[in-house]
Amino acid sequence: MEGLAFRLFDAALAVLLLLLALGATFSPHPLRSVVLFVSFGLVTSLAWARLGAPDIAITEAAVGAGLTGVIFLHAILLAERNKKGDDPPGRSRNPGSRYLFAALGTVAAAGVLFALIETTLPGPHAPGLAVEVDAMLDRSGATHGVTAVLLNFRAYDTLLEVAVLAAALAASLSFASGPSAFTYKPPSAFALAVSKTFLPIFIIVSGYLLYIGSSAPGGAFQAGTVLGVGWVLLLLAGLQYPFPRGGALLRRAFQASGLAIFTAIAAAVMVAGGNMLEYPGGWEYWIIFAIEAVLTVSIAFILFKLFVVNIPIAGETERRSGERGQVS
Amino acid sequence: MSEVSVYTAAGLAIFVIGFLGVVIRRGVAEKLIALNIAGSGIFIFLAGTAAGGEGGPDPVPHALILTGVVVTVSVTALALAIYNRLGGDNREENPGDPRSQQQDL
Repeated sequence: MEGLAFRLFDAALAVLLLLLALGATFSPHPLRSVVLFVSFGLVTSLAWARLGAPDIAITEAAVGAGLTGVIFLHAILLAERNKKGDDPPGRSRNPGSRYLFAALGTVAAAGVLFALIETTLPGPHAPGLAVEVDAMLDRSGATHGVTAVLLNFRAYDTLLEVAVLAAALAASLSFASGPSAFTYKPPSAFALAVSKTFLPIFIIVSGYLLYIGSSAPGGAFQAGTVLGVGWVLLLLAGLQYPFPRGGALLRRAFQASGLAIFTAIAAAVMVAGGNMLEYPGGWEYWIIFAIEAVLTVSIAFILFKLFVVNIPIAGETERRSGERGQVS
Repeated sequence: MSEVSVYTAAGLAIFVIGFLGVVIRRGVAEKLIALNIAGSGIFIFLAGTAAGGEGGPDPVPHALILTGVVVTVSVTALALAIYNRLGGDNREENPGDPRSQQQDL
């Protein structure tokens, strides 16, 4: 992968990333910012592919660009709809702040230059842990390096990551004023048909990513994010938020199940006499698969709810209650 | 420049762009977009340093980046939910609010 053509491609990709980043952060029009942000996320997925990180590419495309972009789009569109005419300017107009900006810019540029020189100096490339991971791979329960690291070698980090997801959801739910049921108007018959066509593909791809995650790029987070985003797509296409009022407890159960099973297995191992998350020999593959399977569904539920909590409902600023609302 | 240093350089530059955006932009949603971009810059830098090793790309930083992406998504969603709960862009400004006098960055 070192040919001249690839190097030119990398350079072009890097320049494109920089331009998109500049456009997304400094564009005065908020809608343009969001669109450029989604584009930035998708081009970043290409960068992940070039850097040999397909796992990250899948996750970034699904949630980094997709879900985050949709949430921002709702925030921007609500702000535009309710604008009172006092528009916060994209850049500060105070002359004193220019000196601060110049100072910050100089410090940042100096830092970047220093880091750049440090990382491109000729010398022995830091070896990293790829060799060690490969050596322990057949004892880990997975044959794909990233999955082994995520679910076995650094399983504690993943446990805390799931806890962060659950905590963010709990915090959002504690003050959210969203309604219990609502419907989007279908944007068009074509959009509805496309969403219905893609939903089975999302489900199959998600299941496949879960299954293949132990030996190839994939796993719980890839599968869970694809499933969650597919569900969001279904909602956006005009299909009614499908759960009845009384199903809240079941939904909470699904959202909590990922963290619950992970913590349960960690505790069970300790109770049985081992260290936390030190899987008993021979069982690693099945323990990892069990955790990933439950985690996939749980992540999908959590991501869907994180999106729902951020949907602006028409007239929400006037009333704060759980009524049925129509969203266009 | 090898592919490794192209992406480490790009990652650092993207981080600087995002960081300056967080400081300069005045809208909360715009600040969050800039924060996300700064995070992506850091991840690209990390992946750039992880690539190019003898045994293939180092999987440990990849796992860290995956965790980072998921945490970024949940934190962004939570931040926007809090902002909406506080009234979003329609919150009432106090007469003495420095924001309404366009005083500061």
